[in-house]
Amino acid sequence: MANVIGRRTGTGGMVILLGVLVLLVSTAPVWATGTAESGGDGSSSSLVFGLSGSPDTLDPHATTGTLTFQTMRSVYDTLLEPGEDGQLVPALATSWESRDGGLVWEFTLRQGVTFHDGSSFDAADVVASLNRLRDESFGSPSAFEYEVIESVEAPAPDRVVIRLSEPHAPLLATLASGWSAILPSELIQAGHDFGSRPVGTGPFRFVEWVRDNRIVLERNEDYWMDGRPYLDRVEFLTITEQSVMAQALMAGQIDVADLVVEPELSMLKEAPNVQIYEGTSALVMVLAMNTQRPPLDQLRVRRAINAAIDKQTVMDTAYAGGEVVGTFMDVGNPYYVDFTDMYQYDPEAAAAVAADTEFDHELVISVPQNYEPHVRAAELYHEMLRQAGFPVRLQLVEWSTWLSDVYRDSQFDLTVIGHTGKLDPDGRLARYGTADTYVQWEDPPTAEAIREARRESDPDRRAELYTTALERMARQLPFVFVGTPYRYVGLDADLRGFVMDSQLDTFDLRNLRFAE
Amino acid sequence: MRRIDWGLWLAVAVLVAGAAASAAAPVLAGDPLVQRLDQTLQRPGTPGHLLGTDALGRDVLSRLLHGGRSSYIVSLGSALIAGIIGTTVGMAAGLLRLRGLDRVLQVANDSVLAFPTVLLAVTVSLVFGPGRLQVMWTLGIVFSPVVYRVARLETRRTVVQDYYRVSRLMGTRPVARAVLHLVPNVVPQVLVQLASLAALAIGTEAALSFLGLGTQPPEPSWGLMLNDARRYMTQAPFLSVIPGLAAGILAFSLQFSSDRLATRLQHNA
Repeated sequence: MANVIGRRTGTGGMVILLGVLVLLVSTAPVWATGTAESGGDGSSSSLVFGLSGSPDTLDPHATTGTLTFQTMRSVYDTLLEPGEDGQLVPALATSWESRDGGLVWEFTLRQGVTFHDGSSFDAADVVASLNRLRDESFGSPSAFEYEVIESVEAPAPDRVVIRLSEPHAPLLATLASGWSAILPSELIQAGHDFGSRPVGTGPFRFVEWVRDNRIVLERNEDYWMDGRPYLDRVEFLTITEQSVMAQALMAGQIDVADLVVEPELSMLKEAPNVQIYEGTSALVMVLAMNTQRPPLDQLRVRRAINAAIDKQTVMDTAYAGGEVVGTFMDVGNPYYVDFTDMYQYDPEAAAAVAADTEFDHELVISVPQNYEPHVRAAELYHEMLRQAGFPVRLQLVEWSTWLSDVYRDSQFDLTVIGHTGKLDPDGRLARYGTADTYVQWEDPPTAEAIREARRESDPDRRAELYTTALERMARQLPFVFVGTPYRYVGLDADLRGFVMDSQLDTFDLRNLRFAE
Repeated sequence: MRRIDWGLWLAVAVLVAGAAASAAAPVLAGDPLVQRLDQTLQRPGTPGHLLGTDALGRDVLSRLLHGGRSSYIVSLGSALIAGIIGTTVGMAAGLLRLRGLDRVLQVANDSVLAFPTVLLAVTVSLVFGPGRLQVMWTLGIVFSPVVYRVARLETRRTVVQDYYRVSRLMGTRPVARAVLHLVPNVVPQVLVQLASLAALAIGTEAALSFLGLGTQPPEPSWGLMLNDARRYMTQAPFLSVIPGLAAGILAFSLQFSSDRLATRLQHNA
């Protein structure tokens, strides 16, 4: 049978076939662009660090974004810093003491420290930095953490005095967190653009930032810690695709792959040139419920939803493993109390309540689409709730839409999210129990316990108050508390000295070096 | 005398079989949402799972067939929308021959054609929320200028033919004239275009779902299946190959039919 197809015939189909194939493989070659000039030379002490996102700004005073603190931790120092055992240790301040029942704090500063621009560090820089954070016209998103400060004074070049309006237990933790970075006072006054050209006292100096691509740092020869850092150069490279990141690590194009989850984790565990750093995160993964929206305003419905969720399965399947929690605190936290026995996984009981509840609309599970494990978790929640007889539907939303509609305006039924920690438990718990949180759960005893704990300096009494709050939360379920995931970082097998702070989720690159 | 075009019939048979299988998905395969977390990433050929299972232990065959519904609905639906809008407006423009109207339509056409489809789909999903119907309407509107041009051109070409003029002089009523002379000339040409556009719609629907703008999870769609499969490329390549191949075969069959029809029309002319 003679074929009468012209040359045009079939090519259209081929184009579409090719299109589909391109769709299949289009993710593969992305990493080739960024690493071309930096990878390869394993002998020099240059490190390429794969990050799954890109910071919005490099100014630690101007954002709450973790990526900024993860990268800028190596450029800036803070007065204190978190030590490996969770205690706060000296950094730019060598010692500190409090007077007048915790109303006055005096810090002695380290001497002989210089900023990357050559200017020397003294008390004026601390005063200027803390005032910048408190300045209403600057509008730092972290400003509320410094509200309790009445004044910051510099009685001598190596001494700083902070006066508070009331005792405030989280103060030192705040000063040890990345957003309390110390900036040079001269440049602050000159209106320097710290957002794109950071200048600090940290172990590495800033070289360049190509937005959404990479941040390059090089060794600070004058760093105050003897002999540190070891590395000459650090390049943070943004690789948004997890599979591409894993491939780049196995191919030796990057030395660190942050935030490894399944299925890449199993693959990297078997790769010969890769080691896996395994830590605990400070995250609490939750299925948050809008406690003002019927029928979620009824505790028995929230309990039924809680009973329908197989938490360990969600942790293992969506979040690459982790430990189940029963309240709003991460497992590794000193203030954590185990309430996991309070309610059991019981799909039949959940189904009985679902059958017996009036739903005037489908319960919509809002999911931020930028983080795949949340989407996966949402698919699991959806199926578990559907099997129990709840009318549910998923809706993927942009991260910015999630922040405005769900987190700020409480326009949601259910949502999947992870809550990060801070060095002090108040950072996580502040405002819970009042209507002023996105789950809109009101419980005056909880709110009062949290408020009182903030003013309390005795650690035992604080623990007692937080236990009260956490138990009330565990019992009343403004969230389905799911679990704390493990934290995996893929490392080149020759890399030594990788340290993370789990509460702040930042990296300390000062001790990092390649084995000989 | 005409030879039987086996290629065309084969393509049509594939399309019909695909439509029938998708329509009968609930009977042919189980629930596409049920997860078996103890049976994840099973290979094709596993008893009970002819095409294997995905990362959450869902049956791939069932998801493929149910996902096919999404592809068929969007591609045929958008072709239908484009066909109705494009043909009506195109024939009207061709018949009325009003200079001003023609210009306005031309500008409207060009602006729709100049607007990137994905950008338009993003805008529509921001306003109306993401979903299958939104994608169908977006594509229908984006495709209609293509149909409009063909319909207008064929109408203009017909009205200057001798037989059409004679028919008008003989006093045939306008409606009868359109049915007798215009429709037989315009509709086949439009169908050729529509088959080709439907093929394009298959790929675009998959791409938009892949980007999270089309069908919403956990509902199955080929684009979402491809998106899910991306991360299991090394462990379970079949997860990408199956929906990719399905979309490819369907789009190819549509485009092939379109091309064959076009060739036949040329030969007849």
